[in-house]
Amino acid sequence: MNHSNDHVGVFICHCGGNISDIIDIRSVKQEIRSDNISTFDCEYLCSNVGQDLIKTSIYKHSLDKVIIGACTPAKHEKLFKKCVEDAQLNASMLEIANLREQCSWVHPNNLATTNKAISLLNGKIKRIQTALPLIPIQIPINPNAMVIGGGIAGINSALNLANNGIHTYLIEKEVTIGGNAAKIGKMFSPEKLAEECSMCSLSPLMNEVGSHPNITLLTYSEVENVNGSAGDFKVTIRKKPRYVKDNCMACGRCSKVCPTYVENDYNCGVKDKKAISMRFAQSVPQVYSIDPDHCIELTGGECGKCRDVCKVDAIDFEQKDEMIELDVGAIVVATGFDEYDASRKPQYGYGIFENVVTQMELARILGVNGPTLGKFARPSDNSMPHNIVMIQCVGSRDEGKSGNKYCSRYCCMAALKHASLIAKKYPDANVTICYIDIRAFGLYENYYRAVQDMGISFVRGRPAEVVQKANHNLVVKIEDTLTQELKEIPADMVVLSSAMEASSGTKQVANILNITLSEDGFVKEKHSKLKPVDTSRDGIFVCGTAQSPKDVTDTIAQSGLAAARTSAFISDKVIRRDPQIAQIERSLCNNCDECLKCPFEAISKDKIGNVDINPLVCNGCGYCTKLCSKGAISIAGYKEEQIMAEIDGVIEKGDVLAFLSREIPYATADNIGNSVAEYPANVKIVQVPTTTIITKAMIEHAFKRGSQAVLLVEEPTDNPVGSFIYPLALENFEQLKGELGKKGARLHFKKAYIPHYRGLAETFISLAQMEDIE
Amino acid sequence: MTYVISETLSEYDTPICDTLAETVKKSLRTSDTIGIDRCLQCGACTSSCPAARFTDYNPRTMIKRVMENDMSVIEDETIWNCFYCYTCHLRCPRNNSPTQVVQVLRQMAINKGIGLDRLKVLLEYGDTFAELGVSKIPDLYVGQMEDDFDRRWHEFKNNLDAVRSELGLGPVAVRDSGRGEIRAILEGIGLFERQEKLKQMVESESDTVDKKGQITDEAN
Repeated sequence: MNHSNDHVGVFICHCGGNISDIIDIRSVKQEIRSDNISTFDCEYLCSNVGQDLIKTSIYKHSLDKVIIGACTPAKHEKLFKKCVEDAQLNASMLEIANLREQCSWVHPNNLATTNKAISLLNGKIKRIQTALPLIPIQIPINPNAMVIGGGIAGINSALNLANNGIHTYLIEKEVTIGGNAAKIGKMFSPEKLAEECSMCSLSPLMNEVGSHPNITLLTYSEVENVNGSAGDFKVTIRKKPRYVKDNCMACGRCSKVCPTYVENDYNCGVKDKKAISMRFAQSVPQVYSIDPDHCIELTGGECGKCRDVCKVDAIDFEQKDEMIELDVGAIVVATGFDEYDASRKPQYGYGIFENVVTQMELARILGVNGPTLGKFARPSDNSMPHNIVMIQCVGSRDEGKSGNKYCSRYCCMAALKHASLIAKKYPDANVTICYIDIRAFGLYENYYRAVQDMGISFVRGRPAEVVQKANHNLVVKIEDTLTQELKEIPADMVVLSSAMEASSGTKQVANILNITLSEDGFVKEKHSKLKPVDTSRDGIFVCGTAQSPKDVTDTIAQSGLAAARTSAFISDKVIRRDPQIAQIERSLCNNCDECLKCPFEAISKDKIGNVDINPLVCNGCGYCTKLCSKGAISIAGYKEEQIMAEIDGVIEKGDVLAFLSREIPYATADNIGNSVAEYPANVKIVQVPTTTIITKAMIEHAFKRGSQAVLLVEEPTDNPVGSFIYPLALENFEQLKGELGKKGARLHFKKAYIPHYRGLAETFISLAQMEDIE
Repeated sequence: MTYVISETLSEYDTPICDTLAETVKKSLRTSDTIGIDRCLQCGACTSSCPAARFTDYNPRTMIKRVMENDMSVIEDETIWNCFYCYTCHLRCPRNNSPTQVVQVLRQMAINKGIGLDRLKVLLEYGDTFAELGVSKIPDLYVGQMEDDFDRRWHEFKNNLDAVRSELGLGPVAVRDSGRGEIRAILEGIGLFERQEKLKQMVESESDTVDKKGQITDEAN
């Protein structure tokens, strides 16, 4: 499409001498000016004066299109876009020529630099003649949030969101919220030596969740299905029957008369619970529930005693699964951990010898609401153990098939905490901790020192095995690696510090949400440092032990961040996406499905079999344009004719044309300017989404215009786009090189790293010089 | 005096490298994924090791010496105390395998003519393999097993197939046709040739050992 009659305004910024000291702006203007092209210049275009100049000139001279010659678009593109939009022009009617970082800052003060500035502006003038108005993509965001998992991470996330005014659904698969934190009697903390009562910290938060006007709590419920995408998720929840209605007063009469005892998984499987029960006294909601596998009435027998004693008629044996549909804008995954099954290490006898327990079970045994009501007793005979041996790293730091490679991060501190609790209350007890390294990271070292002072024994070594002797007493076989002695430590009770593993719920939910897991089975964050709570899908966040093993302190910190990120996402109200993404011309599409190979999975087929591009997933890399043999797919703003037009304007005889991918490579070239390094002025840069959109025609066009060499610079593999695109770009390069035959020798390929700007500058120099010699 | 069994075999067995650890990793006798560099010195091997329990052999310190490139470990008599029960291999949290490492060290020792007296009893294994297709406890050890386990040893031996079937395992004996195949393989890989050389070495070594069991100067 030719718009050569459109009136183009070219605005050149002096940048307070940064540009004007090197580039002769007067001759640039003279060279460019024509009937359809007006030229302007300004000391600082980014200043209010400069912005006013742009806006008023658009009106005064009825400009259709605007070219700005200034600093890198990375700096002020948004500002200038707003200027032209304020003056009622479409944002794609603006092009920016990089006259500072890629011209005046990298070349000396001479004619060649001014000529380069002219050619860069000419390129943009030619390019903008082919430009079409683009409509920015806006998708409304549903204002509700959903948190999956009602452990301490989910509770804290939900409360943060709710207190921020966001209506939040909290989904918990158990009958009460609280999770694993509700099981541990005491918690360790980084800044104090005293252990805190965990229920005293947790219970007020649970009650707040239960009564918060912005929280809808769905317990005994599981996420069944999730459709839609960021900002607009359609969620199906399965609410399982409790057989007790919400009007339950939690008086407990039902439980008293219930004749059936069942295993209590809250208390390590001890049979101290009735078939109708509450998980623990502080449960939220305060509603009883019936275990359908053991209730006499529900297993076909006749009982109904609970129904008979209930004064509010809350028992309902007819309850069924209920499906609930929710619409939410964002999701927080807080599905927690499972304790490693220590019976996978048979040499330690867990599940074989009664007095071998895990740290979590010891926490229950020491808890005042535990199976022994706080009495420190061993399982075999309820007697108080005097010699307690703890074994660290059970299932952690273990490359074998039955273990996990990672350090579980909580167990050293949990062992120290339990050793401390035992030593304080039972001074006669001997606690020995068998360890490989004690990882009391950060401020926890204080606590470690304090526990050492209590007379706890530490033996460095990983025990071989636990053997049972008479009276269910045990012996731990270990090499004390510090003294090279083989020891057999007698123990009344052995405590295994079992690893934290990704919970089965985490794996299930990740599968439903289609988010990526790490090789260890935890939800993988987008970037461990920069985006630690973002998942592989927009609008879905993660926190707590669903993301990696961590203690309560770290979990609370991370769940607060997940809430803040979710809140920021929802508060935006609409998702705005740059329109420079893939677009399909359906009339050209022959449904060959090649484009479905999109490495980011942005392209799919809709219900009627048409190619559908998800604007939230597509990053406009352009690889699909390579896949499409019909030319039906293009990247808005980067159509072949637009790039050809820019080449037309920019390239002169003897030039080196560098196609730079738009993120890291372009920023690296800018960084050459920022770092006052130099390269010859006959190196001309054209920005592209990625080099996968480069075609043979583009390169041949550059050669025809007189270009001596063409360089493709791609995103490095450690960039989110580059990790997928780099190998494809390399493949494209090799294919092009082949197709170009002899001329292929003049095509080059490289990847860029921002700090390694010198490498890119050297490539520019060597290509420019090499062609000089020829 | 240095013995070299066969140039080509030692290339796979005990390849010459800059460090002991490299030789161990490159040797055909160790798994490709062996985690010797990642050893934590946790002692799970030593505390699990029956040989360490009754002798001075310590697989953990043996690995440490290999990592420190302490060549004297090859001459250490205790490396001959491992009897390949593979418990260390099973229990190592780093996919290390002291029992495989010790096999490389022993081969290096043999190449240097060290430890041939300890090798003698093991040579029987080759013969049993050739004959039965599986290994068999050497005669010298059988008496020891009887001393140690008494009646239980005989019960175990006599009811071996029943015990194995209870564990879901097939009979231990190899079918006649299978034996022929195994023999052919052993022949193909040059086991018999190698065994013959080893036997000669062991014999010539015994000639140079005097009655007190001391190695004479001539042998060194």
